[in-house]
Amino acid sequence: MTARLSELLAVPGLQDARLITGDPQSRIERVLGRSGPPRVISATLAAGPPAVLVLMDPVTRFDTAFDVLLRRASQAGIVTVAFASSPGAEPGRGTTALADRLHVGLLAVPEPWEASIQLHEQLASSHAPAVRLITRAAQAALEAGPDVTETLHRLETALGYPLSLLDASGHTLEGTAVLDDAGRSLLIASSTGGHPVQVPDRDGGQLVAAAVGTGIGPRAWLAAAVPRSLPMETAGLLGALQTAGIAVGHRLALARLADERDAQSRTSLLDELRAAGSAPPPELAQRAIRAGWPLDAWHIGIRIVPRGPADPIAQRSDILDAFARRGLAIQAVEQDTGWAAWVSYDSEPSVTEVRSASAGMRRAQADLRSRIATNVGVGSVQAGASGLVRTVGEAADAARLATNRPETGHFVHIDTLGLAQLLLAWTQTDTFLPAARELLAPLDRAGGQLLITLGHYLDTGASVAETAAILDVHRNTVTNRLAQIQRLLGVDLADPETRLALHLASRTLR
Amino acid sequence: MGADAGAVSRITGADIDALAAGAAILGCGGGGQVDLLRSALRPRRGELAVRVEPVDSALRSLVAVTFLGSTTVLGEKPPGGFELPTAVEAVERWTGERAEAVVPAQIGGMTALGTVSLADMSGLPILDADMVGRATPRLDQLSIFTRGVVRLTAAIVTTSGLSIVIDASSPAELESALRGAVAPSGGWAAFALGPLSLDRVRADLVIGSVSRAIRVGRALADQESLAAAAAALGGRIAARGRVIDVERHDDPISFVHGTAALSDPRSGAVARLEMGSEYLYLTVDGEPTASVPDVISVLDARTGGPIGADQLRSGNHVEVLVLPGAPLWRSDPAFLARADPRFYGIDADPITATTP
Repeated sequence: MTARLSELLAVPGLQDARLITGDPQSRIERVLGRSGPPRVISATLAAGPPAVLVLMDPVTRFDTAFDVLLRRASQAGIVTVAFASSPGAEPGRGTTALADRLHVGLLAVPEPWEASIQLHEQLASSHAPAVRLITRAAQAALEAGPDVTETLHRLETALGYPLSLLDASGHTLEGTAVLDDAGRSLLIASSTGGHPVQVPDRDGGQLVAAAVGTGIGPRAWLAAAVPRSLPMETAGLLGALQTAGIAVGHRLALARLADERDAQSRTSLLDELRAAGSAPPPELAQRAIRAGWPLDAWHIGIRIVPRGPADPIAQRSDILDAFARRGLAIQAVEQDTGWAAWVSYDSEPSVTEVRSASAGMRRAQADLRSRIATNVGVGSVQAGASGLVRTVGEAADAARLATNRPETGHFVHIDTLGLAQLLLAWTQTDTFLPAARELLAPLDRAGGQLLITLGHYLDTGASVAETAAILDVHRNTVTNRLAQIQRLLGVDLADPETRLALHLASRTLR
Repeated sequence: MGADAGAVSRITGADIDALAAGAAILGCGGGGQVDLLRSALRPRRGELAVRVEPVDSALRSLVAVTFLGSTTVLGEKPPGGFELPTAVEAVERWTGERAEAVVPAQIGGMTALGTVSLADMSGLPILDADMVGRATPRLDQLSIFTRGVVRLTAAIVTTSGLSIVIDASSPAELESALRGAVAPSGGWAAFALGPLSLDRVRADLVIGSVSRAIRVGRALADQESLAAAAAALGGRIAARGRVIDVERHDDPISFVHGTAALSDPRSGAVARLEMGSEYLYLTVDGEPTASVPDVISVLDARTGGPIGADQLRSGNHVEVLVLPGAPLWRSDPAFLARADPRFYGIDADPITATTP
C-alpha cells in the first residue's frame, strides 16, 4: 500500500503532527519504528522502499549523531523521520538545512508510539481506515437515541467529518450544509439506484454520499466532504456512511411511524367533522380543540393537490413551512392526494386581510414549486365548524378548477375567479338563471338602484363618470353605490374576472 | 611524522610568531588565548634563545607545565610571569629533585608559549614533546597517565601568589583536588608536574610537538592559501562555509557543550561540529569526517585566524582545518581509548584524518 505523506497526516489521529521540513507529496510505502540512541538506529537502517522512520525515544540533541542518522536514513530510502523532542531540544537551522539537502522530511509528533500505530494502521492494509471508521459509526449508532438529529450529531463526532442528510432531490434535511448547490446536484445526478456515490469536488476534495433507506417513502442521502484527495480515507468514509445510513434510516422510519399515526388521527378527525354537518357533537369538538383546531372561528379553506407524485405524510412539514414563511399558520391534514388545509381567524377577516392571505398562499405555492408542483384552491371565508367543512369543500372545487388554469399559476380563489368560473359553467344550463339571481339577490333586497347602477357601470366599461352621467347623479353617489355593492356581494370590483361574472349575471336578469 | 622531520634545536624571538600560530591551530579551539602570551614575550624577543632537546636526548628529569582552569579568566586576569617558575620550584623543593628540562603538558594553546617563557627565565631546555598533541580539558587525559605513573607530585600557583603542592596516587585524584583548589583562588593557575624521569615516560610522550607547532605556524604564514598550508602539513580543509546555527548546552559536567552547523554556499554541504572546550567531532552532510584525537581547528575564512570553540558565532565564515593527530594515540588501543570520541562522550568511532 502506498500513500502520500499528506494523506497519512490528514487523518484525525495525526493532526497534531508538524512537518518541520519535507515534501508533503512524497510517497510512503512503509513505516519503521526504532528505539534507542540515533547511532544505534543508524546501524539498523537498510535500503528499502520509501518509508517513514519513527524514533520511539525522544530526541535529546540535534547533534552530529542525528545528522549521521539523517544521512543513513536518506541512503535507506527514508523520506521522513518522525520524532518527539525532549523539552528544550528543537531541530535548529543546521538540522533542517541538512534534512533539506538529503531530501529527508522532519516530522515532529507529540507521541511517537501513537504516531507509529496510526501510520502502520493506514499503511498496513487498505481496509484498516475503513474498519476504524465503520466501527466508530456502528458504535455511535448504538449509543444514539431515537432522534435523527442526535444520531446525526453523534455520527459526526465519531467520524470527525460534518455530515449532511439530504432528501432525494439534494436538499439538506438535517445537519451541516457540507455541500454547496453545485456539489449537491452533482452528487444526486451521479447517483444510480441505491449505490454509494463519490465525486471529486472543485477544491480537489471528494464528495461522498450513501443512500439512507427506510423501506417506506423516498430515499434520502447521507453526505460528507473530504477536504483533500485522500483515497483511503474517502473509501473508509464511504463504508462508514453506509453503516451510518442504516442507523439514520432506522431513526427516520421511527419518525415516519409517529408521523403516520398523527396523520391518520388528523385525517379521521376531519372526516368526522365533515360527517357531523353543522353541529359537531361536543366530544368531537373537544378532540378538534385538542388537535389545535379552533372551530369557533372564521376559516379560509385551502386545498393543495400535488401535480406529480408526492408523499403527503413526509412532505407535510414542507407545506407547513412554506405557508409559515408567508405568515400563514395553517392546519394541514393529509388526504389521499395532497392536503386539506385552512387558516383560521379569531374575528371576521376584512377584505384586505383576505386579499393579503390569498396573496400569501399564492407565494407559498410558488415557493414550493421547486420541490412540489401543486394545484391550489382557496375557499371563501366561512365561520364555525360547519363553515370550516364548507370552505374546505369550496377549496377542493377550486383546486379541481385550478388543474386546468395554468394562466393563473394553477391557483384559484373562489372569492374572485370562482364566480366567473361558476357563471361560465352555468350559462348553458337551466341552473344559470337561478344562480345569477341568487348571486345578485343582495342587491335586489337593497332596492333596484344598486342593480341598475351596477349594470350601467359594467356596461360603460367600469367608468364612474359615464355611469353618473347616464343616471344623472353625482359621481360620488356612484362611488358610494359601488362600495355598497362590493360590501353586499363580498366582491372586489377592481378584479376584471369578477366584473365579467357580475356583468353576465346582471345581463341575464335584465 | 617522525621526531626529526624538521625538528628545531633552538627557539629564538624569530620563531615566536610561528610557534604561537601553530600552537593556536593545535589548540583546536581551546587551550587559551595564545595572543596574550605572545604579547608578553615581545619585549624579550631580541635576547630570547631557548634550547630545544629531542626526546631521545640524555636528559634525566623533566617537569611538565601547563595552565589550568578558565582560559577566559586568564584574559581578564593576565599572568604576572612568575607563576610557572614558582610552580616548578615548588615541586623541586618538595621532591628535592632538580628538573633538567621543561616540557609543555599540552602543545595546543598558550601552554607552548608559557613553556618557552619559563625555559627562558629558568635557563632550562625544552623537550621537543608534549602529552596530548593538541589541547585537552582534563589533566588525567595526558598520555603519560595511560600506563600509570608511580608517584605524582604537582604544584599549582595562582596569580595572587597562592601555591599548593599535592602528592596524589592517581591522575583522577590529582584532577579533582586541583579543580577544587583552582576555582576559588582566581579561576586559573599555573601547573607543574614532576620532576619525571625521562627514561620512564619517554615512550609515553607525543614526540616532536614543539617542532610541529612551529612547522604548522610557518606553513600557515608561507603558503598562499589555507588549503595549500593544510596539504603541506598532511591535512586538509574538511569543511567550509557560514555558521548557520550554534547551540551551547548548559551542561558543564559533559565534555560536549555545544554543536555548530556550517552551510557551504557553493556546494550546499551542511557540516556540523561537536565541541566542548575544543572542537571534537565533525560531520559533513551527515558523514563522519573528522574526530579526536586528530586536530580539528576552525579558522576565519578571511583572516586565517583561529576561532575558539567559545567564540564561534552564527554568521562567521570559516574553514575547518583537519590535521593528523599524534600517532601515539593510535599506537595502542589503551591509548586510543583515552582520546577517542567516546572518551569525550560522543558515541562514535574515531576517524583517521587521512581518510578521504
